[in-house]
Amino acid sequence: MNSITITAPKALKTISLVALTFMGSIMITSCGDDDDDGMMTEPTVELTGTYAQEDFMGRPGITTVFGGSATVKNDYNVTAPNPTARATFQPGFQAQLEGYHDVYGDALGVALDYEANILGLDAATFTTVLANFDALQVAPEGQTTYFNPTTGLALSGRALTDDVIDVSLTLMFGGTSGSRFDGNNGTPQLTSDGVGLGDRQFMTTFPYLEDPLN
Amino acid sequence: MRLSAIILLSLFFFSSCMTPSSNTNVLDSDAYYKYLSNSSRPSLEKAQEQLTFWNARINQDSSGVGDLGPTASAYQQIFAQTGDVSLLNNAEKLYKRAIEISAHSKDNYARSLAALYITQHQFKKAESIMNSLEGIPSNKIETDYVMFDILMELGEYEKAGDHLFAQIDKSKFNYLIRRAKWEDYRGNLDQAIQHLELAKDIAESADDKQLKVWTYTNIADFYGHAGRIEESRDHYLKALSLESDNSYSMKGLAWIAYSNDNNPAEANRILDSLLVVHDIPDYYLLKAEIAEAQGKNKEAEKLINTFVQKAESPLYGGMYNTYLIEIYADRDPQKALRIAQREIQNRDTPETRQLLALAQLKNGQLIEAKSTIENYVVDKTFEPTAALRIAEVYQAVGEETLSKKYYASIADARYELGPLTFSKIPTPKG
Repeated sequence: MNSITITAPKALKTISLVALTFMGSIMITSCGDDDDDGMMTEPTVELTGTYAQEDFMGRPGITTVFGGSATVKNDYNVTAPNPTARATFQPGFQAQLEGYHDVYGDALGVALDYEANILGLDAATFTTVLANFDALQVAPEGQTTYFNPTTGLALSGRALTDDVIDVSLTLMFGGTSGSRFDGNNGTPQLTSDGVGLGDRQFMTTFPYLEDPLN
Repeated sequence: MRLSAIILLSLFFFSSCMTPSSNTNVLDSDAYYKYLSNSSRPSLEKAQEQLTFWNARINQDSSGVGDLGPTASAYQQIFAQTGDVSLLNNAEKLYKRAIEISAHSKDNYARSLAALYITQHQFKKAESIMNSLEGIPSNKIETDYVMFDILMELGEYEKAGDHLFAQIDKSKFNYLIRRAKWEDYRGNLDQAIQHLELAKDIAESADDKQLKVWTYTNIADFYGHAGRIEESRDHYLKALSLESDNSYSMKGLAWIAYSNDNNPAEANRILDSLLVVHDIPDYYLLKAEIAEAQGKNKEAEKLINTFVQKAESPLYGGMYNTYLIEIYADRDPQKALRIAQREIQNRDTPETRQLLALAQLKNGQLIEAKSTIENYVVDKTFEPTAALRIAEVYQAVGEETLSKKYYASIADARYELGPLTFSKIPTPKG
């Protein structure tokens, strides 16, 4: 009997692209030429070419609230989330933040200014943080939370139960205590949109959300 | 076993550029015993859960195109876990329906359908579904990738390269793994490995289980071909530590047991544990080879029969044709020739051509066999199986010098070819 030439496995079957939507990029340093000189060379990842921005619009909240004009929003969405590139947005964001307070101050008939928030960030620092580091982040190992008041951990992702809008409003209008304008003691309610989770039940396993209503 | 050691020794003296396998045992069953005895199937259960979920949504609202893709994908995952090939037909129907009713993602579903056709070895169909996209807005990068995959299968390497090297961003995972395939096709195994290592860095920095498992298993294969057996073993084990029911890794370990460690009993133990939960034809074939290597020819024959019976199921289409050609080359040469010619219609590659040459040889068509290898195989692939076939054909037509040259070129391919095939390489004289 002649044997079948089975060989050591070498499938390299392509995985379906559905499973591979991950768009990672890496940088490595070139260690040598890729010439046919018979020498083993490290492959060099070629980084030449015309690049196009893929997407930085994962978190539209900040730019919607602080962007002001459509031009600013568009510019912001295609700028890399780092201090150098984003620095130009900070003054506009701060003006916008203070502007909101002026509007409410006028409505209430009093002079009203932003007060350092529950994280202790003054207007300049708060808007610097927002402008520079706003990007969808994921904590692969730590807690995933928009803001955990107990630990102070912030923006490591979003849990399904996180009330993102209320947290944002609290950071903007809550002042140092977090309850500066919470509707009590004759203040207007500015730290919540009044929309809660309702009676939704979240699960810890797939599909995480309850069945849709029929 | 002893015989191959003798052959190895003689080959060592035959030429200085050949390195005999070190034959150091690398497997320690303690490292994977827990996966063997484990009959739980977390990956299968997860895929079934997905199917139930998405299927329920389809049933509620059959117009929801968004549910068709995930349902099809769940079928494919269950197929990967169980080998139940009929599920692929379900997935095909769903993708077709999605292409039909989707307003703006036709290209996405077409790519998924093309990938499915590749799994089924229906390469021409894959190409035609991609060609049908012409004029429809489509994601160019992903379409290029799928075209590369199809054209590589069809043996249209130059065109495949065009799609690959059209990519601007050469740092993406999807690019790197295909570049690795390209380098392997060109015979640059080291470069292929280096590109897979870059892909591995991405998978690890993303900490994505699915990407990591995929990369570990594939890089493990390549390390094996490069003779880096310990690294190969380590990466199969890494994949298993993430996915305890990863049968592909277990099969890889079985190959190491058989081919490197000369431990057919252990290889069989691994394969038998796989067969309990994952009954696919492939394992019978490997078990047959192992039986034959052990001199148990009757048992080998029986296992081959089981393989043939399963592999010829119409549900598989031509997925196992390459093996069937080899089997029929001995049993029914004319049938082997017919399958080989059909397979070349399906994909004209050095691999299918060398099988045609084998079938021609067994039918006594020596001149045709020689012309097949000289026109379609020689210098067109770097696979050891092809070199073996070239050597056999040259031997059959009496071209001793050329035959020796090709036998010599695979003198260090013992691990890749396996001890049985390797033992049949004639011992060089002088």
